[in-house]
Amino acid sequence: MRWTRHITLAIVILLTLLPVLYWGWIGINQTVPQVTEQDEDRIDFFILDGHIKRYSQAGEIAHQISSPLIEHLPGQSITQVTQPKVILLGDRDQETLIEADQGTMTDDESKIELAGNVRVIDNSSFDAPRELRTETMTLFPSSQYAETSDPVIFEQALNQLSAIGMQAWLGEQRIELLSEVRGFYAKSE
Amino acid sequence: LPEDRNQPIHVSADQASLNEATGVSVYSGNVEIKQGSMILKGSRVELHRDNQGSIARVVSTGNPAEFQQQSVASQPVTRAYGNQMDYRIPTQLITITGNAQVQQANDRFTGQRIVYNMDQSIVDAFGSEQPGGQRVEMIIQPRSNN
Repeated sequence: MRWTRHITLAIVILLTLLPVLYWGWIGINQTVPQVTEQDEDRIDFFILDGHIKRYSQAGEIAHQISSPLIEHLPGQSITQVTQPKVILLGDRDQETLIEADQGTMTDDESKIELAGNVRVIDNSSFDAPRELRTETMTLFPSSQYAETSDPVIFEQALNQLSAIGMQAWLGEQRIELLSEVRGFYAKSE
Repeated sequence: LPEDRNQPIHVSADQASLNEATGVSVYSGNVEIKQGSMILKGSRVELHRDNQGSIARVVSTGNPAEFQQQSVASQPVTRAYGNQMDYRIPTQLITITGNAQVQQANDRFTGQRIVYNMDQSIVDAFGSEQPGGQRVEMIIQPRSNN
């Protein structure tokens, strides 16, 4: 009689343990995704409030990049930069500031794809600063060249130009507006 | 009109090259520049800015380049044509070179080079300095007496 009670108890315990163990095994499998080396979206390191300085061959600062969040994705050999601020430094103390909502930079920093509220601000002019706005832009920091096929707006004081598509040699302060150019030059007082 | 020079300048073109270092912007392809009643058209137009950043000079080339303006409200529109037009905003002088032609109502002036004073509606026409070159020609219609 006592044997049967022990056997029954063992069966009950076994029956309750099985689902718990099974559930536990499945649970582990789900909560921790299997991350493989080749996973394109894998982030191997991130930097909060990062500040990157790139020096020229002559040892001078060529450009600086700062961002509240920098994430490196080895699978794609890129770095994602949140709200990037890029400062290009030219001769004659010329500084060009470039901002955007999002940036994607190649590992060698040779190219940055900027997207969302892209602004290029050049303060080197003797009068009002010049500002260029577009939605996306490809920036090549080392050659200080940028281009887009999106609509652009170019403003300085009350003067404004708009066009579709642009190529800009920022270091030389030279811009090609590619099509549908409309301009407004206010009479300055 | 007299107040044209104080009006903003509107530009439309197919392409543009802006050079902030030199202050010269080059517009190309169906270029049209408007300032008040003045209209300048050309295939290539340069806008030169002065040290204060204002447009001081407009150089237009075309086949031909065109210009029109109403110098006085009561007067007909003045039209000009030529291979190149050089409009100096501070002095309000426009120099037309190469097959230069100015029309005021039915009067017509042609020459190798014409300088048109927009403030005073004065036309100075010059022939070619080359022997046998283009001479100045003026056609002034008789005014009706009534």
